[in-house]
Amino acid sequence: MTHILSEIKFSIDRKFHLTFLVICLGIISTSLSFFSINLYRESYADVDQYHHLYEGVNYYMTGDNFVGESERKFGKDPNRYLKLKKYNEKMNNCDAFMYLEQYKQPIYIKNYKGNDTNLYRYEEGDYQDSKNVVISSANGTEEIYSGVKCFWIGSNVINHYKLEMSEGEAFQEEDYVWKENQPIKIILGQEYKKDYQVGDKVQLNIIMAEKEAIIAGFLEEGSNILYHGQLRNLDRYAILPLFNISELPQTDSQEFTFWVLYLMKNSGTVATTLSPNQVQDIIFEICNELDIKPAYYVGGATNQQSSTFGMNMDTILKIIFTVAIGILLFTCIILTIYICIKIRSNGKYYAILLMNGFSTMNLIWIIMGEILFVIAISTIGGSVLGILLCYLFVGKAITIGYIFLPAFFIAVLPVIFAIRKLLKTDLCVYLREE
Amino acid sequence: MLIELDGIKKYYNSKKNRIIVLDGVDLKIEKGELLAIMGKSGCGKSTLLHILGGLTGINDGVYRYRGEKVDFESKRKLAEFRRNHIGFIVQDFALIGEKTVYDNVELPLNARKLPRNKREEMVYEILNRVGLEDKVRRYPYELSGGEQQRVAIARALIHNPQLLLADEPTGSLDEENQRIILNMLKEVVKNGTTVVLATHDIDIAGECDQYRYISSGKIKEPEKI
Repeated sequence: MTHILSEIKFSIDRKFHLTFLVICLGIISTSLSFFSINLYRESYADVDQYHHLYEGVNYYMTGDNFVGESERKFGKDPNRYLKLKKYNEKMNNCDAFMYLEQYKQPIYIKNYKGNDTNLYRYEEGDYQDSKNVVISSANGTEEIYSGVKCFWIGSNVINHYKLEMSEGEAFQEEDYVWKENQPIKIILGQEYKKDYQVGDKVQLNIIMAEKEAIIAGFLEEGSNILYHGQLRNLDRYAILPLFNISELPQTDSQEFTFWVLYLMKNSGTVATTLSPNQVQDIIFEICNELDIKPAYYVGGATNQQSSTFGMNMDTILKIIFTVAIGILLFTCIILTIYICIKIRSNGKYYAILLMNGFSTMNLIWIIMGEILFVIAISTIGGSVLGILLCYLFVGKAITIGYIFLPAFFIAVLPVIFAIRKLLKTDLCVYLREE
Repeated sequence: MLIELDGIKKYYNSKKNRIIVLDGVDLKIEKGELLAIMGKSGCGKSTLLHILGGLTGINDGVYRYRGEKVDFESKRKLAEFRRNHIGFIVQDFALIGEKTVYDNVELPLNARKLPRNKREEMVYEILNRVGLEDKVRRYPYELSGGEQQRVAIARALIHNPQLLLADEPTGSLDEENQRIILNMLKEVVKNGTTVVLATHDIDIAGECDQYRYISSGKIKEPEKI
């Protein structure tokens, strides 16, 4: 074995510049294919995250695609509020699915006297900043508020999830109607119960506006709703209605509040037996009709439009996959060409080894050793670079084990080719001087 | 009898036709003989030597070495046959340019499981025999043609083969070096090794115990030349 290893080293050292070049290419392509596979996996991981099947019904999260330039563009649209309002009406009236308006957004309560457990980001451990938030009021004075976790819900959510009240009453139809300068209703989870009572008034700051709220009741302990693919326990949550607005905005500030409110109303959940792609197609149709660009997306749909790339996710995934396969094939071909050049230029060397007692199998091991060396260095270098790329662009490397997949594919063809080529070559021609 | 060839045929198939190199070669070689194979360029001398050394296969016929049939189907057995019985030298010396004299000569020992100090001892001993003990760390390009051929002979003899196959061993050398190499080969024969030498030089062939002539893929007896 030592003599094989020593000849592998010798063979690599011969024309090392060529070997070095192939290793560099190998590192680049291994890292890119590893990155592509991870990106592909990450895309489908997202799909799984927002797709949930519960009691025979699929729940898909929907949301807008207003990011960066498209956000700025839509924000400048004078009809932005009306477009969102019409979109909301169409979603709520769609026969193909049930649209649930449910949105998680903290609210701010003045003189908060409840538990810390109800504070925004309590579970994440960084709730201290939520405890005392200074907010300037309309008359310019600064007030201390506390940010608490809150679900904003549409009128069909309570019935859909069969939420029961332990005390007080649930929202009534009129509670969902936005009335300027009138108190609103709020429902609280069980963990508020010892600090607040039904009928208590609390001063809120919501969507950059001050609003008085009356506590309508407390949810039963252990109440849950399905949100972003997970059951969320509502014991530590406040619940506010996602208001329907029938009036037109009179002031800029009112227009802003209404616009934000409809952004929240439209980022809801679709409950249906349809596939995510079918729901996405319906939403595409609605958005096209209302000229909302880019269109709203459906979590789990692979035909959704990517705000970053401006194209269908299916297409993006196909491109990523094709690129990964292309890179692998390219490296595979380069390595095969490299081995072909090596076998041709080493023909005499192999013939000398043969006439000095080496077997054909020894030669195959020498060539395979060289291929494995190139693959090993490419895999090590490629994994470091690939993981770096993943952390840079995806934020994590999903499956490090996938690094061996490109390495395996890159190695198969050159090894088969090298063995065939060697067995077919009459090495004796390199010894003839006739 | 060391070697018996019976009706050996060897041909190469090109895309258009079949090139017959050896067309029923019959040959017997005694142990300790110095035999010259003569013939024009391309007549099949090298191919015959490669067959004798188990480097290339045959298409028909039987090759017996010390009475045993050589199995050309098994590449492993052929490698073992070469490793144990055969030494090769060729016209352009076939030294590996990037290896030192020491490493080149050590090459046939690498395929054997010999301890390092034993290998070293054998390399120095054989280089001493060919008078190159002072060139151990040199590279082939630092040596003259004659010296390079002596390195090649040292490499071919290091494992004490019973059969030394020399393909035009003096073809690239001047007269003085030709003489040195020829004397070395005679010395090898005296020590009991059989040498088969391919040459197109009648004077070299005349120095050998016997010679045969290859023409039209067949071996001709000397009296028929």
